Amino acid sequence: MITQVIINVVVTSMHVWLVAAGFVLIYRNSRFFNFAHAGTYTIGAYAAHTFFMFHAETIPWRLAGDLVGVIAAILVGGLLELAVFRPMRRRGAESGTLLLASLGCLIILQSLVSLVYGDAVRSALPPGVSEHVYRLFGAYVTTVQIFLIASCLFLGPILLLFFDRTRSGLIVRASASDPDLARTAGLPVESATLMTFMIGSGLAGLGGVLWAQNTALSPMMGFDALLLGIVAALVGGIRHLGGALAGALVVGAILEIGRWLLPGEWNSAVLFIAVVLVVLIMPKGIAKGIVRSNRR
Amino acid sequence: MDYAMHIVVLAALFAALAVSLDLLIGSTGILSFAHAAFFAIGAYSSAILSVSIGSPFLFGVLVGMTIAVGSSLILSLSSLRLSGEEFVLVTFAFQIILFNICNSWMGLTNGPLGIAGIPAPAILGMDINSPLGFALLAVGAFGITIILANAIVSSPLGRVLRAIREDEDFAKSLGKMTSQKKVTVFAVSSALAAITGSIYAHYMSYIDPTSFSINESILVVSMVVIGGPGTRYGPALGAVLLVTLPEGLRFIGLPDAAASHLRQVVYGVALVVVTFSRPRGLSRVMNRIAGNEPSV
Repeated sequence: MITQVIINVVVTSMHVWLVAAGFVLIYRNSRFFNFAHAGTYTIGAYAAHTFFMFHAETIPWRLAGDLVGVIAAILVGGLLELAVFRPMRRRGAESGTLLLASLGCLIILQSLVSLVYGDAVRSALPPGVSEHVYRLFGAYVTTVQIFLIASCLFLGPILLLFFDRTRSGLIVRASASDPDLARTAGLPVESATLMTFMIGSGLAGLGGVLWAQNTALSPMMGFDALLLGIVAALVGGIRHLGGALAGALVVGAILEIGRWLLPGEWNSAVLFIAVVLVVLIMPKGIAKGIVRSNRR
Repeated sequence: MDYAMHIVVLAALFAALAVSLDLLIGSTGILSFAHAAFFAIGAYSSAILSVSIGSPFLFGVLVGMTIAVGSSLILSLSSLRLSGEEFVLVTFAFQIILFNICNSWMGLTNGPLGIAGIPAPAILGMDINSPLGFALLAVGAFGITIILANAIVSSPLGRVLRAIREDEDFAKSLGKMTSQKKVTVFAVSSALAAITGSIYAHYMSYIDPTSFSINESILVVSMVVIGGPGTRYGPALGAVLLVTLPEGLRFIGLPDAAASHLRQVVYGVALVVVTFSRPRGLSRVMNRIAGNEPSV
């Protein structure tokens, strides 16, 4: 039983981390709460689902479908930045206005998905294709869950190396910490922000694709995941991917342990009461990242 | 005719909601996604009291207002130190917790089954049960809301609120007690939403949690933003527009599900267009258009 709970905590946390990491990356560079992040997540999941309707028989086909979903999310995220957020920022948009615009984008993406696929909850894989279940120390774990954990273990260090060791990563970090100074130094701040949006959306898309196969698809799935991601980002500190990981582990633990000990319908209440308490008891600890980024 | 009256009632109630939320968004510059939660507090207080102990309408309204003001005080007093974006998250969390209570606390709210058989309201011995009577009641509630909002905005309190919106630190430096004023306006706005909720419950005679979800909160915020925050009558117009739009779509002969998604797309697009064209803060620009330059 305990091993199953631990595995569930890890799986849920990794999913939350994928969403939170993308959210944090975008927040660091453009300094607003990007609700459209949930839209790219959902688009990724449904794009992969559409691919699986044709081919999902073998592992390579499944991986190809995952890739299709991630690419769709990257394209949508990049498009939103180019078409909506960049022009708004050029005209001096405030973070509150950008937040509302991203909410509008989310509503559009979500209802387009509803129009095309309907509101009903769907299974990501076609009937007849079943998940392989492994036994691990008396607990059950599926192929998708293993892939989710493996891809996070792979992506974490890659992202770290990218931001710490490459020139592009350095430019992204420079334009995040002080856009004006970076612009003065002749760095391509705008393309750094676009790159951030694409990487962040790709992470969200991967989260959506894998979570859809682990549970199911619905047009609202992105919004639910994003709320968890924002919570993780705030709990862990909004400046760092590592902080997002710590936050995601906290969120995953609260969710899964709550699910284990309490009736399931109280899950979201438990989580959000915990969030309110954390925010209220130590606003300084959580606020630190935000305050620092705003007052540079 | 009854159908037209139904639209009038809904439009008036949502206009009252939008105007009361605009006290936060337009007049003070606080973004809140918990308005549907306070609407729910009013609706459920009235419904539970009148169905279980047969209490009179005005008593239910009073209890709903009291609970709404109480919870708004808990929320605002404990989050005074938070930044605007963190407060947005706290309102999100409150909305989700409250929806969870409506949806899962079977003993109190009857969960997803909702509460049926809410009696028609009686004011001063007069039963209100005709469509015309309800239309008058709803328009009356809207009238009271807008008169109160006008009174607040043009009072000394309103001037401090505008100062908070433009530059809170500056207002503080002039010795204005900005925290106290923010708490006050949040409580007033919540109480007004609760009154509207009570009327809604008695009018519909049946309520269930779906009318009080996060989507409803987003809808009311959209009404305010699309109508023009800080313009007083603008949010009411936005509400009328977003309430009548789906009815119009129904007349074109679209199936209901498609019509509701199309409505969502339309208001998502409207949200993006409005924020896109006024990126430098909606309320300020809107105020200038309306000809009442904020006087700090």
